[in-house]
Amino acid sequence: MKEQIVKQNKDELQRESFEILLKRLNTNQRLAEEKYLIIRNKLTIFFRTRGYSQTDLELADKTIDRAARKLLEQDNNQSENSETQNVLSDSYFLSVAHFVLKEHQRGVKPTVAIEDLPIATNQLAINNNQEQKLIEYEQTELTTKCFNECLSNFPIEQKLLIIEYFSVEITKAEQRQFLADKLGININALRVKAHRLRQDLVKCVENCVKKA
Amino acid sequence: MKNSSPEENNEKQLMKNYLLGDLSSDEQTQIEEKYFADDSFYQQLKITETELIDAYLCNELDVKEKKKFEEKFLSSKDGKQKVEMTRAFLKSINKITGEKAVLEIPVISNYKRRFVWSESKTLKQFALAASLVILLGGGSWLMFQTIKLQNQIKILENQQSQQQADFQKKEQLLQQKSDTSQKRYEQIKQELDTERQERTLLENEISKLLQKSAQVISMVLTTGLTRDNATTKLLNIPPDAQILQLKLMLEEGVESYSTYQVTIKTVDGKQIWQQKVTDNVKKSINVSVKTVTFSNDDYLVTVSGINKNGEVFELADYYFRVAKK
Repeated sequence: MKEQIVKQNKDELQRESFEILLKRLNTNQRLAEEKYLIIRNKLTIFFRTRGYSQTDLELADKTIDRAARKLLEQDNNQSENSETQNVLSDSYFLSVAHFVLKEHQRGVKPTVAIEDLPIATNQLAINNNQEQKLIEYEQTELTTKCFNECLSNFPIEQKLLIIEYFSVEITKAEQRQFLADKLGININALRVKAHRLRQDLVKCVENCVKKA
Repeated sequence: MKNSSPEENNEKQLMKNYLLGDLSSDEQTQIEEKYFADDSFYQQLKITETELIDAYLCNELDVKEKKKFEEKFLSSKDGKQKVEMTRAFLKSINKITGEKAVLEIPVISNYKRRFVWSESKTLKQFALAASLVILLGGGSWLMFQTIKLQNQIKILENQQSQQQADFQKKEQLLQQKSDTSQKRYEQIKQELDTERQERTLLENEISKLLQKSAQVISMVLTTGLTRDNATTKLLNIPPDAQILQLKLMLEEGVESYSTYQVTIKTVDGKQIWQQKVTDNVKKSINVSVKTVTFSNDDYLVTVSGINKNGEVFELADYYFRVAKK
């Protein structure tokens, strides 16, 4: 019984702190959620390249939770009539990540065991976990169907760009240079453009698979 | 025709090295601070990451890069997810272009097998069944071996206890023998001691006897002899003789006394020995004198009678000469 109450209190705390965090990321809910995902991805890359591949996601979530709890403490200490606080910068999370990394390297037990912390405490994070489910649909018809559907929604030039840029050819570099020349843009600019389109396409496929 | 600048290429290479964990700690920190603070730099990093995954799936990484990629990405949940998403994307593109897979997704070493494996239910079930069979078989074999070993242990233990019992018996027997021997030894020792004592006594007696026989000389002296070389009795005393027994013959008709006195003097008149005799004297008086009393000389022996009043009356004189060997 006691354990349940403690867990419940923890969950409530994390929900509350998370909501404060989102507000500090952006006043717009949708943009705040996107920002959250970007920060999470940055933190994952950080922990992965620092040699903690197996626990990169957990450590990223731990960092965000730690930051969120700190913000909650600050928020509780502020008076009611205080002005709105500044938007949080991503660098703040980097500093918390360094602290979490050192703690992890020292093997220091956290105040709250990482196993007790949920990987995510909000719907967005839960949705993120669902991404993993996409892995299961890799070669299924659904993926192919969604891919085709999404691609068809792109204008023809963008469709061609995606296909030509990312098709597997032996002389990929030459082909891309040719494309860049055709479009009259720098190869790097082409690169950025192609990948942006790709991200949009992938997002579309994810949503399509989710809906299905 | 605008190619990418060397700076752009360098930046791209730097990001690639960062993602593969090929930078120093300071360089890593610089990159991290940049992509956390600068969104466009982060976008570039993301693109580099996607291209890196593409290169891996299209087998375009060298051996070293491939190994590092697998270490970083395929041991990470997020990494694996990205690789699979990319694979799905490239395969879809492949289907549209009708190209054969060159995009034959390279076997992601063991990781791919594991991934495919984890998705196959039938395979899982078969593996589970096989594992159970192996476990059961292995377990039974182990149990059999255990029982066999336990039996062997029991046999050995029995043998050991039997040996111990035998050993104890032998020990007891030896102890008994030892006790018997000890008693016998004590007995013999006692007998030996007794014999020794008896022997000692006998030896003492024998030696005494020997002493006695070897150490006593005797002489009979009569009166009427004068002191001259022709008629004085010569006594040769051997070196080992210790006692001289003199038998002094008394003339007939001599008064008898209850006490007699025998005195030995040198011819100079020096008394060297005297003794009272109270034996029942009839014809002779026997006295024993130590031979050390004498030297090579002539001696006078006087026998006197002592009456009740203590008066002394000379009765006879005897002469002899001593010669020591």
